[in-house]
Amino acid sequence: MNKKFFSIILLITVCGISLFYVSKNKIKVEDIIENSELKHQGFSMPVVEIISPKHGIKAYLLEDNTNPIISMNFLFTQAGYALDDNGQEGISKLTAAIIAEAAGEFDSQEFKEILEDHAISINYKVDVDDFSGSLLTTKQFSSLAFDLLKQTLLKTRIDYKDLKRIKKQIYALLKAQTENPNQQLSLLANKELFPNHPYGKNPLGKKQDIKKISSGDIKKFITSKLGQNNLIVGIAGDITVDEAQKMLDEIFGSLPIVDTNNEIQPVSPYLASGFVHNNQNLPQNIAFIGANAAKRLSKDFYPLYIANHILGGSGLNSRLNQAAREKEGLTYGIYTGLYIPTKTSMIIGGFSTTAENFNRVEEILIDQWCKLGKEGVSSEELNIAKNYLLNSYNLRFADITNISEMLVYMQKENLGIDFLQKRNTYISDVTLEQVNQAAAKYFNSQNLRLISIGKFN
Amino acid sequence: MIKSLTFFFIAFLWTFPARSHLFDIYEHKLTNGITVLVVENHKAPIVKQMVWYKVGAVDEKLGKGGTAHLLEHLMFRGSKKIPDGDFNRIMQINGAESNAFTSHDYTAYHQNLDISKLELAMALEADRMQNLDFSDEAFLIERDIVFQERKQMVENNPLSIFYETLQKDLWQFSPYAKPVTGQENEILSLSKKDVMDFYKNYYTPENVVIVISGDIQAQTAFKLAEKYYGKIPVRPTAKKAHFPQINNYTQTKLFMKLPRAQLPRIVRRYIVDSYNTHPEKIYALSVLSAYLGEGDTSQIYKELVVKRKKAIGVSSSYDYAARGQGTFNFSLIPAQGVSTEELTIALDEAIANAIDNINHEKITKVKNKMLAGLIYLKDNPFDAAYIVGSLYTIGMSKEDIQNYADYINQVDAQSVRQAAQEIFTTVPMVEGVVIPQNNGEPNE
Repeated sequence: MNKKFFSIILLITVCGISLFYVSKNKIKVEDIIENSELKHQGFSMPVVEIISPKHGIKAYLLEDNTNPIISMNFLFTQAGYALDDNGQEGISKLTAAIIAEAAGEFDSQEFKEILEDHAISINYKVDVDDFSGSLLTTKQFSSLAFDLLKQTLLKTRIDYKDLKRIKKQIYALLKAQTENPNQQLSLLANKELFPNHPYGKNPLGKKQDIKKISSGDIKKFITSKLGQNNLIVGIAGDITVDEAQKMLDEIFGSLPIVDTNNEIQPVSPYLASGFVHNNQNLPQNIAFIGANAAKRLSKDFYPLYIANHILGGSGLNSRLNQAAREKEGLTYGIYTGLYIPTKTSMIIGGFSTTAENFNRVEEILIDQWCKLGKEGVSSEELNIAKNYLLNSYNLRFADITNISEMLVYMQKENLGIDFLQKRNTYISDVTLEQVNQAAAKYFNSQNLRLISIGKFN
Repeated sequence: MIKSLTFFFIAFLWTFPARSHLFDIYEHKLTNGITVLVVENHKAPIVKQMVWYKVGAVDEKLGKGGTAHLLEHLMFRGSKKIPDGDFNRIMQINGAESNAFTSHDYTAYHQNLDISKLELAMALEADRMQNLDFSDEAFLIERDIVFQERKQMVENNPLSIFYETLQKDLWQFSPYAKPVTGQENEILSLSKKDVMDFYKNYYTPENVVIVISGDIQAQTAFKLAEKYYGKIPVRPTAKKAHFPQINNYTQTKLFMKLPRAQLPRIVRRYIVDSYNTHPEKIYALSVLSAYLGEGDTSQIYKELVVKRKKAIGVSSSYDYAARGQGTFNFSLIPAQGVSTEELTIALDEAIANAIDNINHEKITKVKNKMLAGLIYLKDNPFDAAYIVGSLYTIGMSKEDIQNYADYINQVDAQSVRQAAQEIFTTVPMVEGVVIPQNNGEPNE
């Protein structure tokens, strides 16, 4: 990637905020940055949209020749576990677990050995909305890698013994869920927040349903849900436009057109029936925070993103961590973040604390939550938050796999092909007034629900 | 047809090229004894700085468990030049992802940063290396926080009591026997003096390894390191942990019924050589672990999970990166209806068979598998910093880290067989079995 000097806005905001420190610390933060031998550099991130010549498969591509490796991420919308048919809950998870187990003429052991011998990794996973896959390969073995990936999709091989084994492994995961307090809490929160909606399902499915799923069912799932019309692809690494276009035709060109009219209904998390304190004998209580948030493309998104960062975002400087952790030592951490799947948008969060501290941490959470809504943030807090979000931006380019994932996300959320160039402007353009309006809208006592497990009086 | 294409590839099987370095590491020693290591990676204008101290939970005094970890927390609570809270705030404003961790063998502080902020991070690390200063109040709050951390990370896990007891049974009177976090009563009895003594005794220049990985020339990094860390005065380092030999005839069995556990598990741990006890032996042991139980094509996975269906999960691992001895591990989850006794017998059979079947072809295949993926390590500069730093800090030389692939390549079938024979006959080991207390539940 070619480097070039980046937006001047960033430098101005950095200097502005650093002045605050110059008088306060004996270490002169501003001077150090000002005189640093290593200057800030932006770097061009030339994402291009490519379209395969034969079948018109689209993808975002970011060429990077630093290392002879290629990462591709792809997802199929409307194939996530929330869309599993009744009576087949768990089929998407089971498919993800078995689709790259064997392929074509290769049984499970043969297929895995070829992948290992050539350092190719092919993985599939499923989340609430989508079914996704990823490929990591060296340039040297990319043709083989593309071919093997294609076989997982088009020559899916499900041997009975593999299906039986993988089902048993999923049953074990279902059991492990019940011994892990964090997973128990997460299942409880799903149920409480989405009581009558597929988002409330267990991501692993139901044991009685999984038992009945046949290899025929899985093949039907693949041919009816993994199509070229619900496909999104992101590619990063050492591959040219030409090579990538050919590869798209080759791998995805023969996928069917699938029915995309089985969408689930949009939903808001159910917040009405009060906080949940579910008694269980645990060494420490744990809590899940849930609330409504703005959609990804709504005008409130960036203001809310920043307001949330100030309340409970990464690091120990958030208001919640300052109050509950740094000042009172009540918890190892308390956080909030935005979670925006296709059919809902949420502020989520959590904390853990021993039973005797629980009420106090809950009180701090409610106080800070409502205070942010009522009083908003100061311009200094806004500057600090913006500086973090702007200055940390480049860190996401450390890993080629992250990059290809981002390329998929950009398309899924319709962020535009220039998103990587524009994202910092979206942050820096947000005004104090916008942040405080969003804060008032989302951080109030009506928009907050806590679901917790542990010992309660 | 596809098969023949694949065979074509296999015929020209590529591995991580011999004589190719895992990373190119540049090494420089400052006059006060601080070591600086640089791994260049110019893909993006970012960098990771890691400051490693060659001191960890093993160096704590008896009854003072958790000192190293509490100190790690307090390093964020202010210095003579930086008031409490400002370290995190300055890092935050400047877009750094900043954190730290403590293990038995070492403690590390790290920041991912835009390259233009590296000097700032160096100034702050150099400052807290020599000027740590926190209030009594901050001390008490932070002690409460690490208490809550232990509750969250250790005790809420239904199996932690099993793993901590296993560790104690295996290591007996070695400092590896105790948990890094310390026990609850130990944490709550630690004083400010305990922590400051540990800091003064061990956070000395000769104990420090600084790793800079990212978009910087090595010479520039050395110059900057000299500027920020070079003037830190030399101080004597206190005596560090001793790692006693554990009697070879010690074979312990641990059995637990746990109320919150839902799945039975079997874990075996053997005390074996590490890089520090026998550097030349670690490569054969690494190959042995990969051969026996790393991944779905390994010997005992194939035998116990795929073929005999006695287990739903099996894996092995080998940890050579230790200041004391290393460990060789197996963990297994029995299949429904298979007793833990039955599975341990099957495990012994599977290991014995696998050792009998060691031959040149199989070992070559395993080595190729191990080496093929190494090229990906060159991608992420943050991962490189961690790998290089953790290995160097436990004592591995720059050359040995760089030449890892060569050493793995040189391992032959005979040395793997020999490594196996040593482990499975004459070293201290523990076998732990945990079953759910409500094991009598209906099958489905």
